[in-house]
Order: sequence, then structure tokens, then C-alpha cells
Amino acid sequence: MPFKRFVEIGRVALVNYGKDYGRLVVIVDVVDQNRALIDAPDMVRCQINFKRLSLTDIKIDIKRVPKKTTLIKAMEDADVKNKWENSSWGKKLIVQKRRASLNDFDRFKVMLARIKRGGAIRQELAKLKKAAA
Amino acid sequence: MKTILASETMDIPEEVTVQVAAKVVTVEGPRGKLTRNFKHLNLDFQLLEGGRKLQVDAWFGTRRTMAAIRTAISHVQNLITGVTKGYRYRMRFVYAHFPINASITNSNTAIEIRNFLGEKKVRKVDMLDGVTILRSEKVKDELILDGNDVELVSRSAALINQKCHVKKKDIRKFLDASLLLGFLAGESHCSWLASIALLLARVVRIWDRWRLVGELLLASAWRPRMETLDLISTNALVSCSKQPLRLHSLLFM
Repeated sequence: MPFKRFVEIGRVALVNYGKDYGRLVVIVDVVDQNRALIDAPDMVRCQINFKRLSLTDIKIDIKRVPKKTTLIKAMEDADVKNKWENSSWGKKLIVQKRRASLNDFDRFKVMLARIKRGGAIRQELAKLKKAAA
Repeated sequence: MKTILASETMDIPEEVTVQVAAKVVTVEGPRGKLTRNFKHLNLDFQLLEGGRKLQVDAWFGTRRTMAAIRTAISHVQNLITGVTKGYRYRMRFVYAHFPINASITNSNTAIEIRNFLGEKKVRKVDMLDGVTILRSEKVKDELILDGNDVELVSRSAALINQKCHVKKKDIRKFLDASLLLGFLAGESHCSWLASIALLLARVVRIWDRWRLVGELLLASAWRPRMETLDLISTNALVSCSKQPLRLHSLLFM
């Protein structure tokens, strides 16, 4: 019931609004009650409003406003990328991205695969019903 | 200005178990079980140390929400004392002339009040859930309300009090009432409230009598006789014995 994910230096967050939508960033400093300084390996350090962030469970061990190289090293040590991609939230996002990037032929292939899967499920269900009856 | 975090902790005694889920606090103890819903507050309730401490947090709270932290804790403390010691509210009947007749009905959960100020109207008050009422045997004209939930017990006492309000009269003069004498939560006790009212009623009554006696003295000045002196002495006796003073019959003697 109490809060588990806190805004702290080293908290990994997801940007959910704006130019950097969908990017994983690390909070490196807190500016005031509403804003934080964030940093990521592939972007320039900047400030952002907390309302534009969604906190994740991942936290890395850094001091206030580390150098870029220090930050990258800390993220590697904490294995942020793998942890994110293996978490259910991260997996969902990957799937969403893949689905959004399908072309028509891909969508056709997906349709066939769904029909095949549905058929297999229904066959199994029929077998089970027959066994129960 | 919003304060990032404000919190307060309270200890829970041994014989009480407290459960908190979704801002609904349930307290269970030797006398029973009480529940209270804090969903109207924007606070974080959590049990620490395996149920021995209750912590209440307010995140980014305004002055108002921070004030609510301590009231929430006080409410929980009242629940705890209600479930361990219980609450007893005592009320006294105060009347100048017409004795207030009260009869407890419904297996100690309702009270009927008759003859308040000599009125024919019968006032019936139902006690709230879990509140019992009885007339004290040792003390005259006393009611005792017992219960676990302080809100319900005090509200029942208030209901009885409000039923006995005097209407369309000068309330400085007509002091009849059923007043809250004091309440006990375990050992605490305050009993001066209605004692003062009782005293006041008595004083006013006596003052009245002595005023009338004064008038009698004046009247008797016109007839200085031994009989008038006897009259005065009987008057004094009458006022002290709390019998209604039928002065007009005495005056015409």
C-alpha cells in the first residue's frame, strides 16, 4: 500500500510525453518540487517535469550529476537494459513497437498465424469437451 | 506550499490487533471490534513492526491534509480505547418542580422520558448501535450510557439532551434539562459540568422561595402578629424541603 518507487538520484524512469517519448532516462538531480535533471547515454542532459516521467522499479547507484562516462558505466553495472527488456512493462513496449512497425505483408502473415493458432486451440478444446462429456 | 512528506506514528498496545486495508481501519480487542473508514482523507496508512505501530503519511500535503494526520491518529486511539476500556457517559436530570420520569425500554437500548416540565408529551430516544443505557441505582436521576464507539455513545447522549430542550420559555429561568455529567474512558473522569447546573437550579429555586418569603415579610408588616412569624418559619422549612411552595394559599391566611 505505501509507495515503493521514489524519485531519487539514480531512479530509472520512462519519458511519457514530449519529444523524447518512450526513452529510458535516469534522474541525476532534482531541481525543485516539480522538475528533475535527467540523463541518458544517448542524449544531452536536460531538465524535465516529473509529470512527464513514469518511474520504474530499476535504480542505479550514482552520485549527484555524474559524468557521462560514469553514468554509462553505472548503467552497465546495474544491467539496466536487460532488466528493462525482461520486465513485463518493457516486454509490452517492445511488442507494441513491433506491431506499430508492421507493413501490410507482415500484417497478412500475422493474420494467418492467428487463424492457425485459433484453429489449434479449438481442436484441443473439442477434445477436452469430448473427454469430459 | 506543499510539504513533501509529513508523517506520524502511534503505538498499538498488546491486546489489540489493528488491520488496515485501503484506508479502512479495523480494530479488534477484548471488548469487541470497531471499524472506521478514512477514505475521505488523502493519507497513507501503514502498519509497521508486525502490527505494533501505525504510521500515517501525507505526501505533498497542504496544511489541511497535514492537520488531518493527527486527527486520524486520534480517531484510531479512540477506537483502541473503545475496544479495550469502553466509554461511559453519565447524565443527570435537572428539574425544579416536575420530576423527570425516565423508563428504560427495549432491553437497555431505548429510553422514554415523561413529565418533563409537566408536559404530556412522551419523548422516546433510541440508542444507537452498540450503546446501552441504564439508570444508575446509587445516584438519583442519573443515566449511564455505555458503549465501545465514542462517537455513537456521545451522539446518543446528545440525542437525549436535545430531546429535553425547553421551548418558548426563558431558558435562564427554566433550567430543566438532562445534562451530561461526565464521561469515563477507563479512568478519566470529569464531573463538574452538571453539578454546577444542579447547584444553579437549586440556588435559583431557593432564591425564588426567599424572594417570595421577602414579599411575605413585607405583607406581614401590615399584620405584625405571632402567626406571621410562624408563617415565615414554615415557609423557610418548606423551601428547604423542596416541596412546591403554595404561596398564594399562605398569603391569604
